[in-house]
Amino acid sequence: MLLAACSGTTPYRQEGEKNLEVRPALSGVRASLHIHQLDAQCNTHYEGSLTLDRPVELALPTERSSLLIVGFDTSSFFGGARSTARRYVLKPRAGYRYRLEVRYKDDIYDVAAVELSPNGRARALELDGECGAIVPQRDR
Amino acid sequence: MQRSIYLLSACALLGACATHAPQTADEFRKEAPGAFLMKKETMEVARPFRDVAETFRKRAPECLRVAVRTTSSTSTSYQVIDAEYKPTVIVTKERAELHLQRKYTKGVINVYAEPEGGHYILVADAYPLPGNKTRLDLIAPSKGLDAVVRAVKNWATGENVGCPDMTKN
Repeated sequence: MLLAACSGTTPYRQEGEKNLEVRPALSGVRASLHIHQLDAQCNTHYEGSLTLDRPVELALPTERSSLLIVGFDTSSFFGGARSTARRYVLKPRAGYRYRLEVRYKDDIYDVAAVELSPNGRARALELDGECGAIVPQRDR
Repeated sequence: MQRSIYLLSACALLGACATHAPQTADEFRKEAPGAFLMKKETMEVARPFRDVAETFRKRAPECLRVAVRTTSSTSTSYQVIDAEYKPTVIVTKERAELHLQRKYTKGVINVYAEPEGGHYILVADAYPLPGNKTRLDLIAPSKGLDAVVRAVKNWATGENVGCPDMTKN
């Protein structure tokens, strides 16, 4: 249903300091990032999309949850239309930066998230796809 | 094409089992390895059993509990097939099991009795070995689940914890 809502995509634009960097490493697939505002009742409001054909930086509102949907499109003439998507909830903290590494190769994909503190310390994040808290994993 | 091959192999497997489709993971372990277009692989990984089990426990639900809709249309036909995948991970001191079942909820007629959650299509068993190593036995179709098989092996080795693209089954 979320993907259907995104079928009429609009470019994501958000004012403010850019705090999320998305680094795609893709092979044989097109990927896109769809951003939704997520309220306390887990209702979503679509805010825009970005094509992940190169590294991008964007501004996500801090101290407020956003639902990030990473979509992979492997449609082809002979294979038909195919797409798969993963959803992640991220609530950026003020002063922190975040990095998403989006990888797809040989029909296997992975999205890894890192939180960077103001002093440069990195923590791996285990992002939940449901309305839940972010769990810092370990120091790097 | 891949789906057709798998469906064919599933039919062949079911045919090889006469009038019976495996109703449990144990039955799948006994009956699937010798069936047409099914294979059993064994590998040893240089990784502690508890780490392999933990990766199975984390990644299987996240990556494999999905529903896939396939829509095919030609000038004379239109078909929708919905499939739901159900992963199960069971960990004991002796073994970590990963089962994958597939249930078609639309577009496919089941010829044989289907266990709850769908037909078994993959069973992977990890066993602890001395020296912080693990043995992995994996039973799956020889074609049609390639991405899933590779992902499960990757989870065992720890080299790549990515998810298989389930639309490629």
